[in-house]
Amino acid sequence: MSSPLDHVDQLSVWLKDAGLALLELRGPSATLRLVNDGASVHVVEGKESVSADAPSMTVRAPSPGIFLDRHPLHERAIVLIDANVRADDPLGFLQIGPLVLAVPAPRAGTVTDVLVAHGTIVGYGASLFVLDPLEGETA
Amino acid sequence: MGQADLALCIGPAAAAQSYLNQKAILFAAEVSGAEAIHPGYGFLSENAGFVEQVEAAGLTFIGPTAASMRIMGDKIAAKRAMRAAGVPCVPGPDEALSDDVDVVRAAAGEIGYPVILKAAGGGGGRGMRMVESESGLRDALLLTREEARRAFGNSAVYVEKFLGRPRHVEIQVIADTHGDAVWLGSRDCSLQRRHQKVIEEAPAPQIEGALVREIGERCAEACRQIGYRGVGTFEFLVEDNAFYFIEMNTRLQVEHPVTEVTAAIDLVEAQIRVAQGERLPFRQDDIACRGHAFECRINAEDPDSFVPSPGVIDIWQMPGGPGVRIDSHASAGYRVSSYYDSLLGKLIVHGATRDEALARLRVALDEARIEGIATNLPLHRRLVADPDFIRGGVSIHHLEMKLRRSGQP
Repeated sequence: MSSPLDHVDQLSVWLKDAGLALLELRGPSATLRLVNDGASVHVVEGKESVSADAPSMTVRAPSPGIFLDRHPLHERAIVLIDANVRADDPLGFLQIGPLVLAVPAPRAGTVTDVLVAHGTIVGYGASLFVLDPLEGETA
Repeated sequence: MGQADLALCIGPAAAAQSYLNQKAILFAAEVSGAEAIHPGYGFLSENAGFVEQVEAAGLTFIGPTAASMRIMGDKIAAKRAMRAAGVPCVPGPDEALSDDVDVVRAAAGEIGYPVILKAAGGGGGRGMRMVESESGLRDALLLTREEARRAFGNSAVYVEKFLGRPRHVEIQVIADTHGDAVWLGSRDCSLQRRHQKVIEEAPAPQIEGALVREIGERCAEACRQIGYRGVGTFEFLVEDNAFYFIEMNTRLQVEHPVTEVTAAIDLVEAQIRVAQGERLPFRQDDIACRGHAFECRINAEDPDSFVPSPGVIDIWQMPGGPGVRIDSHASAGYRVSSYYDSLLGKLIVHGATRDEALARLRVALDEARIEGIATNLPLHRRLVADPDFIRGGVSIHHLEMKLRRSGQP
């Protein structure tokens, strides 16, 4: 089988035609990520983890749940706006009946916005936080 | 979806991570405070394990019990249950074939060739192979068994008489949790391509009322005997005025509207009432078939090649007027996803007679206009002008033969 890397030009045309913003192909040995910014399609170097110097990103709900900004046993929100967090630090929680799922930070950064109020019902993919790169690490 | 009180996304577009993700559905039910789950059709609607998960979570599943689904999911067990209830089945033993080819040869010989080998775990047209004579039996048996093992994880195979030019006729039933069951009429779904129904109608034309009544009564009796609950469909092949049970669908079906308009019953409402533990609000004597109805399945696909046609709908104009009903989620500006089935909507017409319904269907199809993507509307317009279809009672092979004659796949 041929590698998708041999077909980047064709894939780029299809991406543009379909009006899709991102195409990501993951294989055991490589990841190909094509980004369509409207003007052109370019390859973003493939690393599986999100790099620390990417621009600000939105942290989304990994599951339906009731969004909690604090653990049910705690009184205060776990992160506040402008807090610096490390990768995998919990930013908030999703409560599903007796289950409480942490929403981890996908990378280190500064929380610049909390987009959902404590106690809101959210679906999969709902935008919860905006995470900016740590100061001094911006590309 | 815009009309829902609460809509929750349960996962990414790929069905395996959303509509087939039992955990995500149960999470959404818990979070939203839902008390019951309606499984629709397709996806998890005939998954006995999901019924158990829903009930273990303290929710109501709007449909039959897991036990009923398991019996009907195993086509041999289903056939045995139907014979026990007096429902006529296709000639052939209601047990799995042995590995001894001589025994199989004897069974097939007794039925008479041609015969058809079917996977017990199959259904909906999958896992079947026709055998014309004894010389082909051994190879066909090995092949069907291996395919069944791979596709369904169950290598059990059974043998039946092969019917050459049958019609597909089905009986709609509903049962409550108090031991009552009624049948709500017949449907003819013979117009199929690759086992996908294209146009359905109610009642099934040109079958004597007394015969349909007798079969319907037996279906209702079978529901009482197996303790069935909710709606269900008994599917039959009909040849030379004889009914042969093939399988039961333990869910609401795509073509349920033709029964709704001829029986004047909202089947989804009835499903919910039964799931709430209510008694059926009607008895068999209250059920009558009023007039005639057709349903055209409008698919986002090329009318000649049948290749799915995802994309954005630019123009969506649907017909209206007396006796015309549209069931659809689509509209102008709607993007048809390539992730799911290509069914865009259903055009249902009702008339006092079959001729009147057919006349309404022709006008409605001419008025319908969908642009931006390809749809099978042109195919429907051709079919309603087909003399054999107008006469009624075509076999399940009619559409494919007609397409082949005109050079289509």
